[in-house]
Amino acid sequence: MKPIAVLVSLWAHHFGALEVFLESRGPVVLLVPGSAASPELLELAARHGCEVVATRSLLPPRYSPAKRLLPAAEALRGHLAGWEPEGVDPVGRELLRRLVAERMDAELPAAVMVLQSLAAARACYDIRLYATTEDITARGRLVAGWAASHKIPSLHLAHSIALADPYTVHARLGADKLAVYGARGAEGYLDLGVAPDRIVVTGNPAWDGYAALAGRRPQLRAELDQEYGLDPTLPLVVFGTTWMGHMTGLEPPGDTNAASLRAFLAACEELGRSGVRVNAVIKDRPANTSRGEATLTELLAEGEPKLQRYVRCTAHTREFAVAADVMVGVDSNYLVEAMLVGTPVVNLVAEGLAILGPTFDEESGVVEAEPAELAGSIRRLLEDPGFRAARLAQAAARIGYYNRGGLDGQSARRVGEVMAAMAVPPPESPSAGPVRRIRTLWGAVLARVAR
Amino acid sequence: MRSHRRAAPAPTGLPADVPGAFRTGPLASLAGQVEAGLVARLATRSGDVTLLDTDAAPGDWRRRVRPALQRLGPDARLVFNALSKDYLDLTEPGPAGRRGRAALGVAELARFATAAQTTVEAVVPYGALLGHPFGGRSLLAPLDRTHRWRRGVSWLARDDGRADLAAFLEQRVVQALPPGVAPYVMVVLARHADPAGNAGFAERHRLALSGSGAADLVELVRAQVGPAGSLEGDLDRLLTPLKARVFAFELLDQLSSRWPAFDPDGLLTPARSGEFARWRRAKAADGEATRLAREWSDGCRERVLHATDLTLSLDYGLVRAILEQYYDLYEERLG
Repeated sequence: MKPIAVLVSLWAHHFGALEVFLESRGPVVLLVPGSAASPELLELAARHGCEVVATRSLLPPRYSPAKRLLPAAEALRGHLAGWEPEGVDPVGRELLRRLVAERMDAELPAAVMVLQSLAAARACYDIRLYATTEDITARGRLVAGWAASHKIPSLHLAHSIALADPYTVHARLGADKLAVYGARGAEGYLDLGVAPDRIVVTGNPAWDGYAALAGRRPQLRAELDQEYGLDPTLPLVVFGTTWMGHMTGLEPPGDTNAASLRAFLAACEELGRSGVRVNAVIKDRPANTSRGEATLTELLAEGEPKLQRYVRCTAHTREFAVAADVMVGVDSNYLVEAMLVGTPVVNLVAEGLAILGPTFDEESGVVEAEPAELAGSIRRLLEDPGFRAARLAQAAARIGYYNRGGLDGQSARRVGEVMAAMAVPPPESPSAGPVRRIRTLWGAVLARVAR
Repeated sequence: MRSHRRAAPAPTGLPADVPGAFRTGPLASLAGQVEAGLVARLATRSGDVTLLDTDAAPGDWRRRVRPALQRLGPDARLVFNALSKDYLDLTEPGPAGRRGRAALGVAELARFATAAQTTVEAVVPYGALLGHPFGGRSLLAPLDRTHRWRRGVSWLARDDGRADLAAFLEQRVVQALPPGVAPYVMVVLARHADPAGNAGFAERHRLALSGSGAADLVELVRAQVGPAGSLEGDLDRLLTPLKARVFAFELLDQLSSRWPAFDPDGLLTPARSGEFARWRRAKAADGEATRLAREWSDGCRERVLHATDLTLSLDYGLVRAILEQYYDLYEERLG
């Protein structure tokens, strides 16, 4: 009997779900597609007494994909040379063929390696589940396809709420099941025609930790004031930056990150001119370290000297969500995080990006503002207590629609239970009698735990 | 009447089906606003009588209208609403059931009016934005079955820009069209006999409906709008807010995909139609890029390794490359 394993490609901040799964199941082998496991996974595995195996390690040390790659690549190249996309002129056709060839060069060697390492893993282990945060990117999509063709159940734990309807490569579900945070996260997929029984509403394990922070607003604010030199007497207005990845034609030309940031800065300056001083914090992504600082510097150098003081940061994401007096974002999950902890939010309806919306509904207490309305919206939330309280009450009543259970901190448990319920052997297991009985027993135990 | 609403939300925590939202929330307010406006416009004489059934599916109109006609003064008119049979015929083809019999068709109305020694003065459609009362395929289908549409419509309750636009579309566009375009009609019957007039009314309507090739619809709207250009001007002002433009784009894009000959440019200024065309092209590029990335390797058996299509790993990067380089969408153009 082969050791039982699960194939794991979850982001570290979703590991809470894996913990719950392992607590209910006891140790299993954690297979990681690729060549290395993250330190966080190794640490978790050590705590649960699990072995971690990177699938690449199951291939011979001197493995090269060439033997399987060359015939496939050659055949695909031959096929590509005969590809006549409909309605495309000869120049366009040549360009498209070149783009495909470039992607083949870039992706196929890794793809062959991944599939061969998965085949080796399947020879060694009884793989019960594939759990992933990505079923769309190059490897995620390939592994989901492999799991499907080997009848290994797969769960895609959404890496965000799809506030914009899923487009192009996102407009499909590669895994068997999708775990969404709240009903809102299912909407785009349901609109696309994904069957409701493939979607399960769990909440986001990464947000479970907010429960502990939500009541600590004054302390967190004081700590942030200290850390970033903010003025404790002025309100804190946080802007979560936005990004587009050239994955939809609806993304406008130019730098969407800079354009929305410019709108935020303009609104803060407008507030300054009307006598409202604030701590303006630009919460950027760590991935944007080099470019983000430069963009902000360039934008701040435009026009008149600035009336407000601006702080850019890439850390303390949660603390800022809790401590902010107003959170501004563009169709962003960060706004939902703020809603979770009772911070009022403004969704900047940005030129170009608006066509991807409407991302929120009226019942959710989100203030929608076009660039010209942004200063007024921030000011009203800061200065009109009735308006502010009404929006917060709306958001509080609606938060479960975005994240099941709101701040109950149980999302990891719910995802872990879904994983456990999925990771049972198929009912018509071809195994011999005794083995089958053991598996069935295990399945029954699991089913009870998952209930 | 709520009996034809869909079932309550499933216990899975997934959102409820959208079609149950017909004439509820902000759409109920819009319907009420439009009805009040129609009554104010149509029931202008002192003796006029108004019969409004504000149920989502008004009952049999004959039963309401007959006794009211008996009591109507000699110069007065009866203003009443009903479900539109012409609309149900367009959107739910097939034998009319009980709901169909309760609805009002223009040809039948003309015969009824003649038999009752009355005259049909007007049949005005309204409620096209509400969707379909019985979950059928409305002229906004499939858009009005989406959660996306529900989110957009929810803002009518708070956002004056979108609410004004919706009211404008109902009052200036829908009401100018034949009764087949909307689930409800507001009818005006006058208390004097005019059999020839009634027959003529029915005939004009039959022609309008049979000719409702979509281009004609734009013509019909323009024909009813008084001085040339004011429609575009008024609509253009309502489309100043970005949020309203996105809402309008959804609607017009839906209508033109339902009626390929419908050309919304006839209602828009060049700047607006340019923006809408850009959004339409972008949506088309998304569909094409996704299709191209998937189709190129069709039929190549060697793409399969370990029962898995190797080319799945190309999709993500390939769609991006096609959008960036084949469609050339993201470079900012100067000038």
